[in-house]
Amino acid sequence: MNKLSPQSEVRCLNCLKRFTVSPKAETAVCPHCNTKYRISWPTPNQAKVRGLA
Amino acid sequence: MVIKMVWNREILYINLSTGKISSRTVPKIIRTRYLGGRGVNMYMLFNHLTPKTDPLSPDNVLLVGAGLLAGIPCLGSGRCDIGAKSPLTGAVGDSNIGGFFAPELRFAGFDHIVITGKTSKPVYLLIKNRDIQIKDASHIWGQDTFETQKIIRQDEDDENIKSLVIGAAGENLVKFANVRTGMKNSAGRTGMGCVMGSKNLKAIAVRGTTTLEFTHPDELLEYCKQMNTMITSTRWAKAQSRWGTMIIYSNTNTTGLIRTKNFQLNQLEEGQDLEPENIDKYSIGTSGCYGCAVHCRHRYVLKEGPYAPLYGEGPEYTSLGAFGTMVNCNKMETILVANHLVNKYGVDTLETGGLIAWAMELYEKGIINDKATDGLKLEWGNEEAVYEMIRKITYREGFGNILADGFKAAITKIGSESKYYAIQIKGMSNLHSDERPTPSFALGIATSTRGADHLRSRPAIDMYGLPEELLEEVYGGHVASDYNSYDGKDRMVWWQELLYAVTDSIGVCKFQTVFCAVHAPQWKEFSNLINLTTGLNFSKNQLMEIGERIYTIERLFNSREGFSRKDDNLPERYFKEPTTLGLSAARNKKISMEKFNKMLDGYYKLHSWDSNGVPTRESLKKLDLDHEPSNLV
Repeated sequence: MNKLSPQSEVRCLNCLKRFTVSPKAETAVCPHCNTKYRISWPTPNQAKVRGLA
Repeated sequence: MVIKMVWNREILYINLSTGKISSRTVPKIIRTRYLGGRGVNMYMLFNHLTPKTDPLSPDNVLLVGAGLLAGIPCLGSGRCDIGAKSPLTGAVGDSNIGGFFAPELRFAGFDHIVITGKTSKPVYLLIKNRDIQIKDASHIWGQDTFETQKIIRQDEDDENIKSLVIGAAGENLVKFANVRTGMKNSAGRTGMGCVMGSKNLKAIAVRGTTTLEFTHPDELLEYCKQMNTMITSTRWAKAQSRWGTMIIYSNTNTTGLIRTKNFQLNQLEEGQDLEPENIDKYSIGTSGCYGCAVHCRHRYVLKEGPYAPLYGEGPEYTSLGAFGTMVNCNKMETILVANHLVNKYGVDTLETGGLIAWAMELYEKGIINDKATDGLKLEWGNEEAVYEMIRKITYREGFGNILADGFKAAITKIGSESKYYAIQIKGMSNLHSDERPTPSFALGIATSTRGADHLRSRPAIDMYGLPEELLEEVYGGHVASDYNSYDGKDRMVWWQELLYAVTDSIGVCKFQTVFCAVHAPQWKEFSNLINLTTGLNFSKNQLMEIGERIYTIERLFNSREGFSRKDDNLPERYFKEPTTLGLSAARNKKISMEKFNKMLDGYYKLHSWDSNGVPTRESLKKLDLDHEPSNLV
């Protein structure tokens, strides 16, 4: 079946590396390239990039 | 009565000029070479038409085809393919629609409908199992696409009737009129609604009450459960079931991959209101197509404002761009209203938005003025002008009448100065994606057999930066991980074209394939589903060969109509104007003509076509296409 990554991870749209987002966080910063994003949650356990912060 | 899934399915032939109706079973040789849906439609399109047929003449053929797997409980198996020679492009006309029509057609005992001729007055086709009637449609001619479906159900006193219908745009022969079913589903591209309108055919209504017989029903049910679990566990499907295809906007606008102000910018800078999360305040829930566990369609209500009360479904990402970024409107309500209008009138959202955005740029640059636009201020962000242009195009009023014939004709009428600003290929507008940073996407829109189009090949997983070992495993050869790279992207596009040709022929949703997740279903899963459903056995290589055959017969059709390498090109601006906004991977990017041509050469070789993009004698022989037209059905 699927080889899924943890659902609270998002892929940075700038450097394409994955990083973990704290539960319920509304913003997050990519630790690899420092791009800052607004975050939304399609499900309580899955983070998604909403836009640039 | 029980009907076997494959061997008792029939093709229904209807000549509207003579009223003659006949049917025949789909021969096994056609099944094994073309499967169903798009594949069989494209075979018949090549075989039934003589070269240079006028798309609006009674000689054009309208083809409706259920996918081979339509009716199984997974992967959104409600897909139906509609084909004809396109009145918009003169090339292959083909559009795929979801909803519930295709399974209903199969329940009635038919897989395909072949419609020729033209009636002298409006009619609709009513299919109730084996009872087939051509009925007067004078009372529904002029009705919108929602009311038309409602009236047919009322007339027949049957709420379970499923209909393919046209709206005012189809009646008025707008070259990009679509075919619609339900509140939201549209066969939007290439003007299939215009062909229906040219035949005075307002609707095809069907009600079927027979049963589909699967070859291995218990195993099939178990496998469908696995497929649904596989799909719904992906991050993509979870987000899509929450906010629909609009979730794509979060990535494309954030990155800078979305056409804005026609083609002037690649990001909508004040675009927060268009973020998919903002649909929540209008949504009253979601719904899905037949056999779908994702449910990506919002049901929305506008309670306030000049267009309230308004109920609609969607919008798709396509409408978000067509009536948002492309025309520089940054309010969700604008999208909801415009989406409702194009659905009501039955006109393609992408072509309509593309043409209006082009007209706005021409207006800004002074190439057209108030006199040309009937006094309408076609200024960026003018939402009322967008609504009015949708109406004027639909009813062919004034400037709308010029745009209603599509890009090719409009350029001729407005003047050659306008051509540079038209974002179209083979006469069809492109999605609002900006492909300058993504060579794979750029090649795909250039080579698509039906004109600028993302749904023929888009390798969305190119955006994920996947490991090259994994990409090689999927695509069978080297593909660069970097989406800015040209390396291996010819292979990527070729492979996706074959996969989507089969996807459209078995009748499942592209969003539930490798389109969006690398581990989502593809050849192996398709092979298993076909076997459990029909008993037919196909290896991965055999399915790829079928995909190649379908794509090649489409290419043959286009070659016969005069299309060649010169038409597999991008608008000039892709090569000349670099992007200016977005993240580093999207900023300051344009397509290199030299690298594009090299990529195109590689793509032709993978298809075994010659350097002009024409299938070779050897490739035709290998695909059993060397004796076409063979007129088997």
